[in-house]
Amino acid sequence: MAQTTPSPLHPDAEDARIFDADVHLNVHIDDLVEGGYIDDPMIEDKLDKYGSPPVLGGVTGTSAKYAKEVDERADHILGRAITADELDDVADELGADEMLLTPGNYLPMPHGPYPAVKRAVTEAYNDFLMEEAVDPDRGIYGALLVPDWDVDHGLAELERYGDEDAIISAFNWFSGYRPWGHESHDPLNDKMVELDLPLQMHFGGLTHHPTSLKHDSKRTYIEHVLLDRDEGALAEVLNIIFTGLFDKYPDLDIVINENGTTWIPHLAYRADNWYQNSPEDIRLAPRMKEMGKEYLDKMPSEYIFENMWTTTVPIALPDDPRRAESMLDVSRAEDTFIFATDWPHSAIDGPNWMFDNPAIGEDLQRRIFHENAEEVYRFPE
Amino acid sequence: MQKIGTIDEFPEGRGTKVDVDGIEIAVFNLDGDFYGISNVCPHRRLPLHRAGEPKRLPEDDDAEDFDTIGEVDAEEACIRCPWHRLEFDLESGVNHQTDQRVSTFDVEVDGDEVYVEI
Ligand code: FES
Repeated sequence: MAQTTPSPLHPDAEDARIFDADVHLNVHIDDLVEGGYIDDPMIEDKLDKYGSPPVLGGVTGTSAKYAKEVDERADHILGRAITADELDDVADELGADEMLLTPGNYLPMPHGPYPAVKRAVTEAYNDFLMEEAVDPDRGIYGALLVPDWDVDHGLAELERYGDEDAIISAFNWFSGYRPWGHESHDPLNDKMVELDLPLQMHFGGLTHHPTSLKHDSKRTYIEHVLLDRDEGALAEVLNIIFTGLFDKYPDLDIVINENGTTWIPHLAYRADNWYQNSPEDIRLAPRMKEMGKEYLDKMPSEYIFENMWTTTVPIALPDDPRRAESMLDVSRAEDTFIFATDWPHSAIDGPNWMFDNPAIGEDLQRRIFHENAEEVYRFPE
Repeated sequence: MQKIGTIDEFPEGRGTKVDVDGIEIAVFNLDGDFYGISNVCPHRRLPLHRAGEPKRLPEDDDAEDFDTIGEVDAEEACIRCPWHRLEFDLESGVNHQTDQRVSTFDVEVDGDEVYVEI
């Protein structure tokens, strides 16, 4: 009767079709250096000696390590998998039929110096992703790292790999170099639309910077992890909408990753309210001005519900099923939620919360587990 | 008491999942002392039995100190949930950090056979 085969899964997870939109490919700089992915000897030498590229702002003071007993490498709370075979085993553990690989936390480069190093590491990561990790035949897909700090380089990376079957999304950080609504990103937006790739955004860069909102008054990791990430994500969402990005690119989809789901009602309805309160505000935004548009084509919330998506991790539904149902309803979960685990990080959500919850019926389960993902990501035909 | 298997089916220092009449129990074999605890962590309803499982790491990884997911402390008879690391006392089922308690079950060994009290 005893089962020694480890399984984290609810029994129904075996039969459900599950796409996991956030499995971190925790490639270390060592893997890139030792694997011969860095071509420039001078850069290789620095990375070999000193590890990750230097980052301004860094992640100091915000580690989970003071908040709970975790490994030196809080990134590895459940382990590390970097090759297609290892990732295939992870998919089995998670009950995932398909997964999207996103960069781990070793590449927080938006605010680092040394553009040549950032360029080399970006290329090395994307090469490693393509050569060692993705395997569309086994449902292992990649999000291509597209630097926004160097738009020409971002375009070059999209040119190199953007039309590969294994790549189903572009990737960048929120609170990265510039908010994504900045008009300087439009060549990247043009290219992503041409390639039919969505953009997936994950926290990183200056979400951790001491100048972020009231940073020096925070006393705990929880304040940071809850507020700084929200601040980063919410700033991106508002910036994207109110700079007219979706008015210029109505076919562009953007996925906000690992910021939970509760930001959706918080922003959607307040943004509508403020827009109606101050409709003339946005005509001076550079893209709107260039397009000669005075008003948005749609209400702000419509862009959130039609062009934006959120990965579910970390989910935080009320325990009471009636309240959970209301929460899912006002968040328009059937149109906006995409299931993700965040494996192997400390915020991990397995798929079990999706089962046995009267607030989540079979239709909604399918929407969250794979149907919404099919609408957003560029899966091969 | 219900039989749940033989001793060799319960590796030492880690959890093993058993299903008894639809109740999922994580059974821990700690140096020959057996403990049963509900396999459903109250935090996110994820299974506790994976505490003590070797961590999945590429061959060359040097994270030696934490080479399992969710530690198992045989001396204190407590475990850490492998997912977000809440700590549970295996005798009482209590998590002191949040004052929650999960059900525990008596597990007994008779010869080679392992039994649980439901
Ligand atoms: S599921 Fe156990 S601590 Fe989160």
